[in-house]
Amino acid sequence: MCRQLHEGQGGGAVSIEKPGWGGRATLVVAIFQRMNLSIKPTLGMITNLPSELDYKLLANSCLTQAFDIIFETDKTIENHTKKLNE
Amino acid sequence: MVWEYLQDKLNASVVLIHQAIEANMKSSICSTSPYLLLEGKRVEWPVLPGHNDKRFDEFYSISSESLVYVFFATAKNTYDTTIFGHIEYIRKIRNQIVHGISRNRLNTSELVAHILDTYTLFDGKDSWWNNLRSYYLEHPFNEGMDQGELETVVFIEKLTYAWKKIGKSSFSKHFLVNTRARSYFCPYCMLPEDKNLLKKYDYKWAFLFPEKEDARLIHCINCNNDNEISRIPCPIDSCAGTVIWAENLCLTCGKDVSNELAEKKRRLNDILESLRITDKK
Repeated sequence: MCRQLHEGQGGGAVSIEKPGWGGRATLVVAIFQRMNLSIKPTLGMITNLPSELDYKLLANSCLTQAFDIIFETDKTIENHTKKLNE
Repeated sequence: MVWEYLQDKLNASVVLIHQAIEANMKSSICSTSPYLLLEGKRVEWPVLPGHNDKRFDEFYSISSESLVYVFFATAKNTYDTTIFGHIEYIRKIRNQIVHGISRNRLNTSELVAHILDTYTLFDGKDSWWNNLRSYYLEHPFNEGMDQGELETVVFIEKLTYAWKKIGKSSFSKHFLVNTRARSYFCPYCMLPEDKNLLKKYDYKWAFLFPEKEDARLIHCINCNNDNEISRIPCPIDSCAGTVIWAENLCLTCGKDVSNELAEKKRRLNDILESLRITDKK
């Protein structure tokens, strides 16, 4: 009797299929619109899309870690060499 | 011998550099559309009525080979051929490490240069240093440390390390200020609020800005501060410096010259006074 429609298919997101219910259907649609209720669209979606910033943060984090590995490794060797020379 | 034992650490850093390059390319592609990062047939996308949602990370993503093509096709910045050479070089050494038994002997100088190049090629000059500073300033482990302490202890060590590793000329490519020019002490870094740090700082990372003879500002890379300076000769005989901060600190020799300058001023006034008396006579 009542089915959800994708947003954009008439704007109201709800249609009443029973004949003679047109007026009430309009009312229901208006109420939904007024209350700003979100109705799950029936179309499938690709969710959790990454953003430009997500990847930029990942890139910077990888480079910081790469630098730290080298820095610490060099420091370890320097300390080791110092100890050997003592 | 030690280096052979630690090669796996250096190999790990190559893998991270490669991952960073790919993430940078993906970031650029995302500014056009993240859908370009998906591999496979479009008809398998769950976007029609009745389809169930599917997370982006459940899809096969674009291959490394294709990624380069999509990156250059969608790039909004103009890149020269250097960046392509860099991407290819890192991809090859990373593949040798990941897919085979690498016989390469990596060295730290080369790797530090690759890291700084990656920053500068993708995000321009100053990006390495700005990112490193933000990373440590925002790091929860450093919550107890103040900014001055970080600059004096952590940052300066890494800045000087990179400079020693890749050399003056290569280092200069990564900064907007000319780091090959004469460097000076920074008054902010030299005189930290925490006096315990005072003796630890013996580095010159400040440069005249703009790079002209009549420059009245000094910019320090370490703390990112600009300070006004006066171009007057240092009163200390052994110092040839001409950059003085707030009439008390010579930024060439790092000495407090307030007494010497006051004495010099007094003597000059005396000479002027005697000239005035002679003139009257």
